[in-house]
Amino acid sequence: MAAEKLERILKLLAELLNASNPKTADELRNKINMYPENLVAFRKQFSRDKAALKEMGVPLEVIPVGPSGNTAEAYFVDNNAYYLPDLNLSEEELAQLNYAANSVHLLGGISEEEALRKLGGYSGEQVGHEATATLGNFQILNILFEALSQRKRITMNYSSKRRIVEPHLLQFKGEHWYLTGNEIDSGSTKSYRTDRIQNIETSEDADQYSLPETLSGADFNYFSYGDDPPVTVKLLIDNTHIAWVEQNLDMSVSVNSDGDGIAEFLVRNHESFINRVLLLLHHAEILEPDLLRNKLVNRLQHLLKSGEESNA
Amino acid sequence: MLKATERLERLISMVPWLLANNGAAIEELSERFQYPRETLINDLTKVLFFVGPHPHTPDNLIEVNVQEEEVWINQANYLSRPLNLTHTEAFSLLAKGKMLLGLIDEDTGNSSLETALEKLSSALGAEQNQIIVDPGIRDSEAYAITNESLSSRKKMVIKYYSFNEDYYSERKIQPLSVGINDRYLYLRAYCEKVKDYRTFRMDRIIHAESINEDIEQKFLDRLEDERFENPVDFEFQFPTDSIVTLLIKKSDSWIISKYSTVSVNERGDNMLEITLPVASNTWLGRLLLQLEPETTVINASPNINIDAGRELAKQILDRYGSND
Repeated sequence: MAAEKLERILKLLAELLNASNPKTADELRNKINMYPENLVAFRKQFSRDKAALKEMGVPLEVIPVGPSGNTAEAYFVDNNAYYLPDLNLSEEELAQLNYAANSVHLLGGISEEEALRKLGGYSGEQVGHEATATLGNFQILNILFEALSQRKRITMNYSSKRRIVEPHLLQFKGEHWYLTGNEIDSGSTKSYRTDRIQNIETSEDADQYSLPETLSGADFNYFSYGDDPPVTVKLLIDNTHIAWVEQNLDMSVSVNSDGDGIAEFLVRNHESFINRVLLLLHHAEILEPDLLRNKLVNRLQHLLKSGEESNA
Repeated sequence: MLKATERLERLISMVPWLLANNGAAIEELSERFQYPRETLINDLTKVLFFVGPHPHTPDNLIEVNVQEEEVWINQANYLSRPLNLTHTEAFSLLAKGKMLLGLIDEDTGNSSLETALEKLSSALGAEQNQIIVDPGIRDSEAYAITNESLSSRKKMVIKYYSFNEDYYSERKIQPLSVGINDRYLYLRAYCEKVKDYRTFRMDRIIHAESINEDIEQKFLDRLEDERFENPVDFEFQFPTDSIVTLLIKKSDSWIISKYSTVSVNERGDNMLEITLPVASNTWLGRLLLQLEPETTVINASPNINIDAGRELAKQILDRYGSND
């Protein structure tokens, strides 16, 4: 029975892939010649077969055909949409994709077994566990990835506002996915946390926009944008706090000969930067420039003075 | 036992590969496409053999030759390429590949993975740099050692930074699982120092070492049932008997959305009176350092040090040589 079903669906797929125009259910039934004579039984079986193809991802289109008032449903598979473009993956490249699929665990994600079989084979190899990450709202990410790869505009609610966005990229950072894109109304590039996106709709039309020449994601160093005069800061960090700084303050830290950390970066928002450095308490010190070093010292001295005044 | 739809999915993925490779050994096909050997032979010879478009004459049916453990097929042009990837499949593979790239030592690199991801994304019409993955703490020695200890079920010795108390402790722990909560990764473990379960934020594990002592099974067994009780250092984990009331400037009202509060009252001169729980004196001191210097502590539980902010400020100024 299973073999018969398999043969029947394969023949249905063969007819659809070979057809140059949409075929009605009756035409397909006659060509395949494996469906029951009884009309009700045929419709049930045909419906299940269509569902099986769709579930696999076969782009089965339903198109009305025939004269007005007497239209019938016809079925069509666009070969361009069906066939995977030739990737020409080497065995080594396929092996690396398999390794990535097996070693990185996306919680709430999907299995890539079917995808890898399409690409030439799934290894199923038990490999070391490299990383686990949350995937968040997979449905939103799927919509966003389809939109950005086909250059489709999206409309969404974000921060109580309806926005039209041309998606540029998706970025995983700090256990969240962010969308960066051009917001039509403001005409500026903005980033949005994808788990806060609501009521998303994707345009039907592809290729609605071009990507900018340079793609860059959200900048999480809040002190790197602002209106203050830009200054290059050199920060000394106790070796005990290097890992914490790298993970929490998003700074790249090099290690000096004493084993302490040195971080250098451009600061355009002085107050924001000082706030971040103060989180490190006495485990860090601004070495340069004097401008920011003095600002931090003045602020703390002001705090001490305020305390003395209120005590008095 | 594979279902008919599972066999269908495997067949339409396998046929293009078989055509491109001009035949293959049954054993290799079986392994590569997770197709049980007997089912595979049966489907090749008793199903695929009869497939083709109308009128199903021999010249348009798929030709299948099985000889001495090898198989070749012909006349399957319409199945010569695989079914396209769904966006879900492609995105998931790209995300994993990008994560792995972020974890690989930059010096050794992995050009095959990079080119594979390039090919994969371009097949979908996307560019590889449209997916950016920062592995964060996963790209650290502590994370790698934790993973290794979890899989080998070995105990660890960690040096842990308690942010709220600003001190380091060294603990022998029995790692049980890694979990994710909002923006952070946590390690759930049995801590031999306090003889209880603890939850450690991964980015605060400054140093980790796996030691050659097995994790006790009883702790793993309990993991299934127990909830994350007695967490330490979760953000916003506050004792209920430590409360402070501050008079803050309205420009510092951001703390209302960041921390849980007991009450917020408007005062004159653009000031707010805000009462909130306090995790520790260091926590309060850090908060006061972030607020405007004019902030005043109006009231506090007896165990609260109302000078916590100024004491921390003095320590910092000492470092700058400016505490005079």
